[in-house]
Amino acid sequence: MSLKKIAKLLALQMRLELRSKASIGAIFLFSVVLIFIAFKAFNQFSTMSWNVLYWLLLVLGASTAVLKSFVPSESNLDLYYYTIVDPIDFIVSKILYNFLFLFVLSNLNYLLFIYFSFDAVLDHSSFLINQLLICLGLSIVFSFVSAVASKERNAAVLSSILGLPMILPILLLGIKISAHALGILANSNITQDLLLLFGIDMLLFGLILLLFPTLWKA
Amino acid sequence: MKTIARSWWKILAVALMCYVIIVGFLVPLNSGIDDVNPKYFEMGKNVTLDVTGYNSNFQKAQDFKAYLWIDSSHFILPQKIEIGAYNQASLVFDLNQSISSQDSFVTASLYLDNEIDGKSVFPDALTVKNNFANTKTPSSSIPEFRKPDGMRFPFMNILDETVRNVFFHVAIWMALFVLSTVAMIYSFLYLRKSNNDFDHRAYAFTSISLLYGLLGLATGAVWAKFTWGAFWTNDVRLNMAAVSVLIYVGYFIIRSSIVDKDRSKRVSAALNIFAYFAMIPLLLVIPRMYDSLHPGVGGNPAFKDEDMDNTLRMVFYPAILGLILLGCWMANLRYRVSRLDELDIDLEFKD
Repeated sequence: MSLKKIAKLLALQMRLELRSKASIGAIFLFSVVLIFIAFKAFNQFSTMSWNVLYWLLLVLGASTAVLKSFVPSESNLDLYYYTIVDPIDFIVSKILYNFLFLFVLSNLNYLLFIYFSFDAVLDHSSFLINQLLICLGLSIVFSFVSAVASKERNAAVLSSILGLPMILPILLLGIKISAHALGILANSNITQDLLLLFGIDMLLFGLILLLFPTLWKA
Repeated sequence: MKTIARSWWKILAVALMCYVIIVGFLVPLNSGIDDVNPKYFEMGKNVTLDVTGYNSNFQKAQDFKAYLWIDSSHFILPQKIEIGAYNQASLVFDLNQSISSQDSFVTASLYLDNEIDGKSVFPDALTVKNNFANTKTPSSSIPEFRKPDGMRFPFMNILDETVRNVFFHVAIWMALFVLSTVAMIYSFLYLRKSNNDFDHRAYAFTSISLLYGLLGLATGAVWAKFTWGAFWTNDVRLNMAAVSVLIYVGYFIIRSSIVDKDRSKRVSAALNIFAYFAMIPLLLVIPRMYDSLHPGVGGNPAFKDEDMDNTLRMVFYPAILGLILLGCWMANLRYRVSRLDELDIDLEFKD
């Protein structure tokens, strides 16, 4: 594992992804449309529904964006990577790329939420840290699930069956923290919750570093 | 003889489970108090409390005592005791005395005591309006309570007889943690050594873990129906348990849906380890952070002395051990079947 190689891989991935503007644009458009539909359907918005919708839409966006990250490419690029790259460098760069992508997506969602309704966040710093940790957790879990399932025939169904239960602890904890940041929930130890979320992220990250090399061999 | 000597642990498992079922179902509960009416009354007047006992022998008892218990230095003896049936009694208390408390409302318990049933308690469920604040009462010395003969399980007001479910519901979840840990270790060994044997064993132990998970949910649902009034409540631990069962179901789905045998084993081993470590925060960490109806969280007591007394422990620990051994036995059978299955397929290819 070397930082230089990870940075190189990350840059390469960004270039490759940004080259296919259609697919990135599709994901952003997907989330804009979803948000628009949600706001049209809800009409009146409470802070509570703001909170729930925000995270649900982020998960939907993430599942469309990240779950496809291991879909085998037509040009046998995977085989090429396999011969020249260390699996740990590869998965770390993938997770980092997905993390950055999700973070951009979540901030875009946030701006759209403000644009369509109102800014419900009171405690911006803890909301931001929470957002970072949730994006990290989502990108780790979905990358793992995608690596496991995407080579199979019914990849889409399999990856949602596997992925959605696994993100649940991260998501529930995150929604609780964000409810605190939105001022819905009082009397909870927010630092402890953030530390716990960070701990779960790190546990999953360690596991993926341990398990991915064996998966990649297959 | 040799086979018997080798499978001593299977005999132990059967013996333990027989012990758990026989003792767990046959040992009677302590006598208790199901209901007291009225639950609210005032000082300064006489009050008649109608008591409904549980498992009690009011008529047979020679020496029947009752105490309206405010704290260990304040309790009131009844003026008159009328016994209606084996579990019915009405107690008349003279409340023209005062209790030295500043509060205008005091919670009180009702204690009954006789030589057959021993002590039974209706804890802190009576509210007394205190009309004489700030005056003193003479108090007598603390009475001695008697104990019933033989082994008795504790009586708890909401649980009643379902307290016996502790030997099954709680013990099943404890055994599940052990079995899924074993499965996780076998998966890890498979990834390290690529030995098919480990994969079969991991698969067998995971199957039994899933079975235990479903049984745990089922026994929990029965218990919840009795105590909380619904088979499924919005309790955090319940939902987390359901989600971890779902994760394990995902394991079986992915295992069967990958056609390539070698890849399927590798992927399912990796997933098993991942699922195990995702289950720990689900079942052990997160439920502790929310209020829950389960014991041990949100101010509810866990295995404290009152809840888990020694008579319960005498059955509870053997139940855990018995269920673990039984699970290992079942997993062993499952392992042999899955190994034979694979051999069968291999033979077909050779023909």
